Formats: sequence, C-alpha cells, structure tokens
Amino acid sequence: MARSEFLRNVRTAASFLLPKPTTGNGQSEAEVERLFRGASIWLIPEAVKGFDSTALGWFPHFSPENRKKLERSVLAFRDVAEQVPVNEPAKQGQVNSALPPIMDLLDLLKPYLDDLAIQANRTLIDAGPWPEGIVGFVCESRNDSEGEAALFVWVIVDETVRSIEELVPKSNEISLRVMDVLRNMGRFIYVRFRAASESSTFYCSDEE
Amino acid sequence: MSLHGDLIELAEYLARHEIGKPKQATLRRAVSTAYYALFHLLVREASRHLVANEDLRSLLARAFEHSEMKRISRAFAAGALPDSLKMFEPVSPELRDLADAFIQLQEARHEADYHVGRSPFSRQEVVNLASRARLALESWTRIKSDASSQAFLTSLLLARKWDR
Repeated sequence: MARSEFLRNVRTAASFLLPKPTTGNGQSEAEVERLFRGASIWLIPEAVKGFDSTALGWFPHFSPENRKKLERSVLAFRDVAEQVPVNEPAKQGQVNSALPPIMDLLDLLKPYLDDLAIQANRTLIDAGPWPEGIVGFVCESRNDSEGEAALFVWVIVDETVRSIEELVPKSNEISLRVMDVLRNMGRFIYVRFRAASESSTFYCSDEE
Repeated sequence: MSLHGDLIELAEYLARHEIGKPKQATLRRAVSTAYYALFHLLVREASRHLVANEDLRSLLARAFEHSEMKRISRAFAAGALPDSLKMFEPVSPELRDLADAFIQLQEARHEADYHVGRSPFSRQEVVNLASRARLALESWTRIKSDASSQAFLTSLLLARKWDR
C-alpha cells in the first residue's frame, strides 16, 4: 500500500477526532458523545491500514524517536481497535485506551493531514444540531473531475436510521444545509450519505 | 418505457439486488446508470424544446457536452444565473435541487467510472444517489413548463455561446 493510502486512512479517522473542541475545559458532553457515536468509523483497524515496517521509511525526516513513537502509536491503537467487535459499539474503556495513541499519531502526522477538511468538519459540527441519526461528517478536500477546487462531504448516518432511504426525503434539505454552512470555504461542495455500519468503505483497500 | 425510466429502474436494481456485501463493479454501474438516467432525460427534453424535427433531434442530442452541462447547472443550483439569463431569476427550489442533483451525480459517475483507486462506494451511498436521481426525474414533470426550466434546458446546450 502506498504512503498516500495510509495517510488517507489516517485523515479519515481524523475527521472524528480533530480539531479538538476549543471551548470549555476538556471535552464537552456533546464532544464525548460524538466520539462514541463515531467510534464505528475511527476505532477500527482500517484507520491505520497500510502501516507496516516499510512505512517508517515513508517519513525519512522523522527523528529516530518520532519513528519509534509513530510505530508504537499505530501498534497500540491497532491492538485496541482489533478488540472491538465488528457489530458492537466500542466500550468506554476501549475508547479511552485508543484515544492517546491515535492522538499521538495525528500529532506526528499533522503536516500530512487535510487542514481544510478538518476545518470544514469543525464548521459543520459547530453548525449543529443536525437531524437525529446523523453521526458526523467525513470531509476531503481535493479537485473535482473538472479540476476545480472542491470539498467532498460524506454525511454519516447511524443505525437508528434503518436505511438511508428513510432519510432520502430529507437528504436534499441536508445537502443544501451542508452547502450553506460551508459556502465561505470557496470550494465546490459535493455531499453524499453513508451508513456508519459501512465504515470500512471509508478506507482505502487492497481489494479493488 | 422511456430510456431514462428504464435506466433509473436499472440503477435502483443494481444498487439493491446483491445480498451481502455488493461488488464494487455493481455499485459503480449503478452510479453511472443513475447519472445517465438524468442526463438522457435532460438531453431528450432539451432536444424536444429546441427542435421540432425528430430526425434533427437525434443529431442535436449528440451535441451536448457533460462538462458544459455541469458548468451551467452550477449557476442554476446556486440560483445565481449569468447576466444573459437574469430575467429568469428567481430559480425555483425544485429546479435548483435538480441542477444540484445533476452536478452531484455527474461527479459521482466520474469517480465510479474512472477513479477505481479511491475508497469504495457503499451500498447506502449508491442507494441515496439513485434516489436523488429518481427524485430529480419526478420533479421534472412538475417544473418543466416553468420559464426558468425552459431556460435551463436551452442553456445546457447554448450557455457557452452566450458567454462570448
């Protein structure tokens, strides 16, 4: 797997973890709830998929200490993620154990993260509340097929909405709201919907 | 049934019919087919609007360009028309939705057909895209007589000429 794919996977997980809330002391209740509800997206092994011993060579400018820290963080996070059953929500202890290593990882890889996507994500979260069933957003900045600067937003719907079809009558309305919230970012906005249970589809895979 | 009607049914079938984890090939064909349902509806309607002779219509239909249709759809989706079309503002919410659906579906279709290295499509994502196309097709019957809808059809082919 190429470095770009590993980093893309890490960026996707970062959608639920960054930026940290700026108000109040520590994490607000809403922020903690958001972390839990999004755990099916970020607390899975796919979030660090692509990392192996060769991956350390992808970051030649890292100091030996930071390379070790990168490897330790990935392995510690993966250990916890692999203990979370596929069809069950993560337990509080698992979330608490996974947060330090993944946050260390994101800190190390900060220069490689998608700042605009992180900013868009925070803007969307701050614009809440969103309709029931929306767990969060995964954003990605890149050019569209016409070469125009674009922002792709996936609205994540949880299992309380049995099917996105139930959301279809509202999805146009939600799309318009997303576009309105992000109108000042100066990019064309593309909005799609996914179910939280389809979390593995957010990550690059060798299967294709 | 019409071509666009058959295509949207096919897209919906492809999006839903596989039990368990659907193949990416199936989902990608569903996305592409949903886009083409809306594309062919708009091309048919625009051709009918612009030319009376049926033989000429089929020739005219080949003159539409995807990227140009997307470009002018952006203006209609935003409700901010170019100067040459200002007389047709305000754009109705339904037409804005339809224009946006066209943009979203065209981009998704591009990814489905050409960007196999990106993260895979999910079933629910594709079901939603097909539903978006279905809603756009259904809304067209309600708005096609509006002046701004007629302007939309005409501009899908000619807007670039008016920019000169």
